Amino acid sequence: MKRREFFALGAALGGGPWPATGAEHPRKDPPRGGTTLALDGERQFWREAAHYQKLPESRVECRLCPRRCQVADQENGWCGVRLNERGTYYTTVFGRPVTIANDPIEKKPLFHYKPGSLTLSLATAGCNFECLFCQNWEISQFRPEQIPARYGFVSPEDLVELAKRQGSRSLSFTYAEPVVFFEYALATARASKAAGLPGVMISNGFIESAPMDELLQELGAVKIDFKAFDDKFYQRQCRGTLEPVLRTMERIRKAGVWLELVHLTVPTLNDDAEQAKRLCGWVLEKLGPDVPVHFTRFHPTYKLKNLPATPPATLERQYDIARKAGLRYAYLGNLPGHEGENTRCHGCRETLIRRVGFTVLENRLREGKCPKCGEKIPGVWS
Amino acid sequence: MGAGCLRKVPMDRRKFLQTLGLASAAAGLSSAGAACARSAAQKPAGDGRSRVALVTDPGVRRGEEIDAKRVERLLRATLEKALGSANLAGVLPADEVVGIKLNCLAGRPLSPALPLVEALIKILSDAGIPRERVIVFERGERDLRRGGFTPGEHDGVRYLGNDSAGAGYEEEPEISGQLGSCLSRILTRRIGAMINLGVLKDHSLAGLGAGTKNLYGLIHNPNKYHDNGCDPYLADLLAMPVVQKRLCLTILDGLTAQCHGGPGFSPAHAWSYNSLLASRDVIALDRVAWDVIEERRKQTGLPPLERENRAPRWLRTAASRGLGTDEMIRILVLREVLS
Repeated sequence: MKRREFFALGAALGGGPWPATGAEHPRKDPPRGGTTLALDGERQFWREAAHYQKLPESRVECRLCPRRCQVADQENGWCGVRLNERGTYYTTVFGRPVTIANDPIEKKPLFHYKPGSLTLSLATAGCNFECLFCQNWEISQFRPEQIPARYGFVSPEDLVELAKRQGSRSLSFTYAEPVVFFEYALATARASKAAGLPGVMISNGFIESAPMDELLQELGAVKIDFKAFDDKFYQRQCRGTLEPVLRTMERIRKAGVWLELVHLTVPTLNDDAEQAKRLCGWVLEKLGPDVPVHFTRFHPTYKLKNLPATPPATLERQYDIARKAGLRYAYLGNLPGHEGENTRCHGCRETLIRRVGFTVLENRLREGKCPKCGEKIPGVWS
Repeated sequence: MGAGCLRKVPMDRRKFLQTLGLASAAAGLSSAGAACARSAAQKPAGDGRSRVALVTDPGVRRGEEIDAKRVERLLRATLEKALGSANLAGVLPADEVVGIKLNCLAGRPLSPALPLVEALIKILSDAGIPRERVIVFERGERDLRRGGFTPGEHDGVRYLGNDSAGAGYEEEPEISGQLGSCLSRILTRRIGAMINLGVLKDHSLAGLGAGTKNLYGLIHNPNKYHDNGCDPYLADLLAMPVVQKRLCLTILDGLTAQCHGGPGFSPAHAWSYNSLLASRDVIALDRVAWDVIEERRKQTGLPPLERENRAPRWLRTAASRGLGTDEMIRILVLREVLS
């Protein structure tokens, strides 16, 4: 795609080929096979990877995520987007987004970060988890060469330019897993920060500390999918582990970068009250009461189609647990129109922001404060 | 003659769909392909043992190149040993499109040799399977090119990657044990029988990158299934009904083999073995291949795979599920050295 065509495409982002509302996923029909690029075409997206160690016999050890893949020559890492070629490790997705959309920031979801604004959102192929309930598995669980490079090479500067033209107020790395396109996300976050557009990371948090610290210097906000307070859940349902995710959340908080959490509540797997109490207790103790926690509704998908959607009553119970635990900002997600989507003052319980789905109906905040009691509401509001 | 006067050629539904390359699409993932069921896993010799042929021709090379005539002779001898006859009509279902799954990941020095592939196509032709009913395929077009093959149609034979136009993967993952993957549409829709043509080589994680491991090219997400030395994932994949149904024969290119540093090409550990192996029992074949690799490792001063914690444990897992034979006492190894 030529540069001019790429920016022309941007005119459609608001409501064109990508849904502006709906679930947090890009197009559901990415073609598989058919028009991928030839070998030389794919190489334009290769950059030497950051955070890896060379080993004897042309092997490498990836130090980007806690998986620490040891990768032989010509093999991919577990994520599918990092490749060892003759002892040099490459990211194969630099400048290779597979989806771009201009979303409401509420779709991420981030409720205390520039509410009502648009965020230019992008993803490459690949993920370092395999959640059985992944909504975006059609990009997260495929390798880049299996998904057509519909935009050609898109530089970080191109994305910033597109975001400006679209009226976006931030730039989000989302849909699949930004950890695995670390180099592209970092370069884009730097370029967008310089242009006054903060970068936003929507992640599983399964990343080593050193690369996370690099990202945190450039980002304006992070949303972490806190999938369960249960290591077995992480192992069995996501093929990951819990401890590195906890560590990441603490680092984000210490760095002073705005943080929100999402807990996708899956019936029978992570919906019991005791676990919700432990999760909320940990958040309160380690992250503080001001970190918003979104309890969102599961819908059957990918490899988890044998379970029903989460009953609203289950989510309401988790909401109550969070409030009783002392968390000031609990929300319910994927329940459009529910009272649990609204922001209420933690001091006087006045409704401050009314939402339906990803749309902000009313924002009564005055310079980040409650108009009734004057309480300062935590978040980034402008 | 007007169009309305064209003589109608009788064509049953299966042939019609084959013409479109959609036979299995219509028949469902597990129903097309008539005759390979279970044969891939277990076709014992008369005494109940699985037959594995290991045939060597020290003169198969002319200088650095593989001699086309000699490799055809070697392949015929190997098939004769493995099957009792070099006539592949006996192991392939009639009227099906035959897929030849290559392994070109390591590039040309350690991919199935071009003359070997051409010899196999010729032998298929002798068995009544014309070139137009042969698809040579790989994980992606990039892999084909690395192996020296050009995607597209050449003299009737189609060379495809899973990313070729009209190929791709099935829309939904197929679950088998702990493995869940979208299967190659070449496997599920384009072919009715498969010959697995791998390379005799080491693999840094699976221990062995020969026959069964080559099947990872049939799924969209092999990168997710290298944990724990690929155990039990390789067995899970082999157990899939559509794989069992299609897989009729496995051949290993051991003309150049590699005992360490795989799956990529490592010149220091590759050697001219000048041999081919074949069996209808891919697990038995890999068991014999493991021995060959270990023997070479010993000769070159390398420790056994077990000492590197990468013995192919998945062989036992597969055998325990009845997918093949991993005990040497139950394998009939038929060796020959051609002069």
